[in-house]
Amino acid sequence: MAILHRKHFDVIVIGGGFYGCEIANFLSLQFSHIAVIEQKDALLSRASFSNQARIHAGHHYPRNLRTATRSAINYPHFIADYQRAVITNFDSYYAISRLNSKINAGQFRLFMQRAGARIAQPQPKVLNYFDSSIIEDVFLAEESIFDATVLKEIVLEKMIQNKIAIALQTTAIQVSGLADGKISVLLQDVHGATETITADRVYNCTYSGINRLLADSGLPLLSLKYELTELALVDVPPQFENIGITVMCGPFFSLMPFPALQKHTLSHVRYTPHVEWQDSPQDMHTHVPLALPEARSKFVYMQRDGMRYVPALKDVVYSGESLWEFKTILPVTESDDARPILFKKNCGIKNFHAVLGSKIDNIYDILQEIQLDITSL
Amino acid sequence: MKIENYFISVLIVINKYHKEFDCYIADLGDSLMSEYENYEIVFVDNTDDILVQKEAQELLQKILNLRFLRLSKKQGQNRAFRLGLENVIGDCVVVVAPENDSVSAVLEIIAERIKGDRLLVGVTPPTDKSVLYRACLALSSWYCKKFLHVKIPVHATTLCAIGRPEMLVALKDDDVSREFLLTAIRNGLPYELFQYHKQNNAESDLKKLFGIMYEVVFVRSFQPLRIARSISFIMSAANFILLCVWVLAAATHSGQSLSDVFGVPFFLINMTVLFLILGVGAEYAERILYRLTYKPKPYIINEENSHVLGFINGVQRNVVIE
Repeated sequence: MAILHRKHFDVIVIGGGFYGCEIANFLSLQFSHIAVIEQKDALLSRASFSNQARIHAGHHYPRNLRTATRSAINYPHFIADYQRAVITNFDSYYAISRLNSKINAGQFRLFMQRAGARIAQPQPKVLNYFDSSIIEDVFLAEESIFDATVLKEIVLEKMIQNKIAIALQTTAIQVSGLADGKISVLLQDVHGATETITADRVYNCTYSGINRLLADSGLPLLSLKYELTELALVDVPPQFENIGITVMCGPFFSLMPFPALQKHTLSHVRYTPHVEWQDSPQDMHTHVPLALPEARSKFVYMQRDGMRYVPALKDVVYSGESLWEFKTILPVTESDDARPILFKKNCGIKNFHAVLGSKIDNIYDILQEIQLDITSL
Repeated sequence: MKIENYFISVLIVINKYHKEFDCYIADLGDSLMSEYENYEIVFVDNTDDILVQKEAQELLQKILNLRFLRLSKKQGQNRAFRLGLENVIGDCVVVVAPENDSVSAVLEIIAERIKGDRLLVGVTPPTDKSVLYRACLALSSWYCKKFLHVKIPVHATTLCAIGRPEMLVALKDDDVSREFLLTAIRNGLPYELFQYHKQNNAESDLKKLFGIMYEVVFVRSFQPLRIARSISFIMSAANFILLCVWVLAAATHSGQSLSDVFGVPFFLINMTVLFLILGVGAEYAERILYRLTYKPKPYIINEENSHVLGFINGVQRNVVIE
């Protein structure tokens, strides 16, 4: 039985995360036959699900004006386009640490003004949550979160409407260029059966799997850095139910609601990454494994450090589960914490492109670039 | 079975880097990992040496739960120590000096701390000191214990286990008391404190802590004895030099008799012993007076009596409070 109903597509998108699916939806306006290949048994089930569910409005990037500004610009668009998945009835507080912070409160305020990200003074009772001896100031940020489950529904509805072919539990094993300019993609289903399909253009949107596919296809790798990350799923005391807390800017923590599971996520810049490593064009052997490994939770560490800034975190209870993911970032962006999207055109094969997504709300930036690329041909 | 319900922070402030330090950290990490589920080793680099950062990066790759804090430039010891205290997250912080404190001693003090909320201070035998030094120290300790009923710390190190509440007191914004406590903790609270808490199972609130430390400071300072000891060593050295000179003189002036040659050295030796007895006697007299007049009491450092800080600085490790 064939994995897909056709042998040739105008576009194949490998990777059924938010970026892959939305690129497919976008391209369906210009191309008739599009397929999305996803290794897991559901779309948006990996990095698009296992994140802080934060819709960035720029506050999170006070050391990179480009990322902050793009987030501030894209924020209202995302809110409007995915309204059903957006949750606005929560307050997001950004606290600036006196210790070890790379910015101070004055700089944060000024930066947000420049980036166009809105901030306000919180209510006095909120200030009591924080230890004023090590928290310099607290800001109420205009920021929202999304429900990853509803977001998936919205994306899937659009894909069905756009008649995009979806192959779940299917792995793209290899990509190769053909003499006629087409690109062949070797697929393997969950039973081990293989099949080759072709396309005029292929987008590799597999996030942490980008280099794995490139390596298996004998193509040059990209310089990527990986972190095995943990977001601890926690239950919070009543006063924290509808708020998110982020301490900036350095080795601090975030406590954010996670609507898809009716929990909160606790993450920490120091403890969320458990292991990190890097791929480079010279090293073809260190790419990310397919399955997520099991690791011991660092919740206790996150909580204890967080309690120094917000003492009431002692009442946060670990649910016993965490969201694990291979976070993939560009090594060049580490110093300023920027999170640009990587759009690598023609990865060893003409019209075989790689897209490394970043923040979910910055999807518009890559769609714009893809449109420019198509128009230029 | 690893201990899960107690979080250990081990704080190491390095002012001078030694190559052996890597092995020490590795041993410490392995030992902690085998006994505790939740721990961290916080390594504050106050060396102003760029090579240490490279070494630390390698350590970070190898050792679990190691944290590396680097000061932008070499700072005073108190500031480096404070940086470490500000960053630890454990139920108790164990302050360790790798050059003094064996890994087993660190584990021992952690185990003691877990048994009860006492402020603990480690004591390490002075293995690197000379036989003469140890003999003098042992003799004076025996004398004080026997006749003055005062237990002298043989050699207190920086190794101590501080509970989080005590540590937070140390980090309070009250500059004077904070610096006092920081200095005292960093310099190693002496053995009496450990004994006191062991016997009384007392809570370490600030007043009581300062009360104990007040006693400890005076017991431990021993300034006159230090002077007397210094004089005795100086006199001994002088005596030896003079003896050598005299022997040389005797060898070159063969007309002198043996008794003439050795008459002056014998006098010098007698004077040395007299100086020693006087010095030690003066010290003991002061201690007896102190013992008679002293009553343990809470002692809060404030602006009026903050000169005690200078006292601590002077008699311990020549610390400059910044």
